[in-house]
Amino acid sequence: MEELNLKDLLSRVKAPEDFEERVFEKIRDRKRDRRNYLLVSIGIWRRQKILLATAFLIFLVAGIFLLPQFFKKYGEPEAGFSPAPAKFLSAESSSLSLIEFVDFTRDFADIPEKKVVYILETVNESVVSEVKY
Amino acid sequence: MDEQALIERIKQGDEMALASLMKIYKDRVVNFLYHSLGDYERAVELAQETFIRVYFRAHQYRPVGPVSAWIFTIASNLAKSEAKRRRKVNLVSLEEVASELGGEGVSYDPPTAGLSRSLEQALNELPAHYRLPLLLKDLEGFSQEEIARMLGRPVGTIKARISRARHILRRRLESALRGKNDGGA
Repeated sequence: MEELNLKDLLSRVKAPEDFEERVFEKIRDRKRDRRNYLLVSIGIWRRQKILLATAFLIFLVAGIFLLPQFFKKYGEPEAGFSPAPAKFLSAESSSLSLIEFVDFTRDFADIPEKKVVYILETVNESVVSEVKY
Repeated sequence: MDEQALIERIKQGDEMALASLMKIYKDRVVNFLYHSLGDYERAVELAQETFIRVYFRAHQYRPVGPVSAWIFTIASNLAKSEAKRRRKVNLVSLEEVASELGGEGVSYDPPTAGLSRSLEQALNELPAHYRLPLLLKDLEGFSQEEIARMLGRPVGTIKARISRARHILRRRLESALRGKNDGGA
């Protein structure tokens, strides 16, 4: 089959008579819409500026009064942490009792074969075992 | 007048310059969009949108290529968006409705029967990513490099798509003509 020549084979359509008029009409509409949008935006800003200023002031005051309380609350020690009993902190005591929460999951995460790991510790319910450093 | 100078005047908001540019390109743009979409009414609307964008975005034009390439880039982008939209909502053109109803059709110069009609039908069935480069090349006469820049695709892709589009078109046209001949015999 011969090479297709689309230019010769396809019909040619033309723009309608009022093409330019309609384009200019649409351009005028868009210009008007843009101007209206700008005016509405400015209007909203003018009307809302008092409201916005009030909201900003409330935010500022709330920040000044609430932030110190927030830091105060979160500046305290964690609830889960139990500090050493006061008797062990006394000046006469030569040893310090430490209660540590230890998480070994990371230490054993790299072990390729899953094995049961036993951690052997001396347990004595009556006497607090002392750790000396 | 030099087209670059017209663009410079459009940048200043000169509507007469836009009118001059439209006089040069309106028929070509409408024709290109008509063959891209297969819908005359929509083609006219999108051609108008093309010139509206030329007017409002004239400051974005960089004189690295011809003005025609810039205008057809805008038109191609609109055609691509329209094709995407159509895929989603599955639109039917007025011409199709008119032909289904057996009516007079819309006020445009319809293609004559025979090869032209088969070609138009085969062209409309091509996916947009094949149809647009083919029309820009064969109908509008842009180079493959220009089309690659216009559609934002590598030159190799455009070459392949044009070649593939021609191949598909030829195959469909052959089968359509063969069908007609078999029907006539």
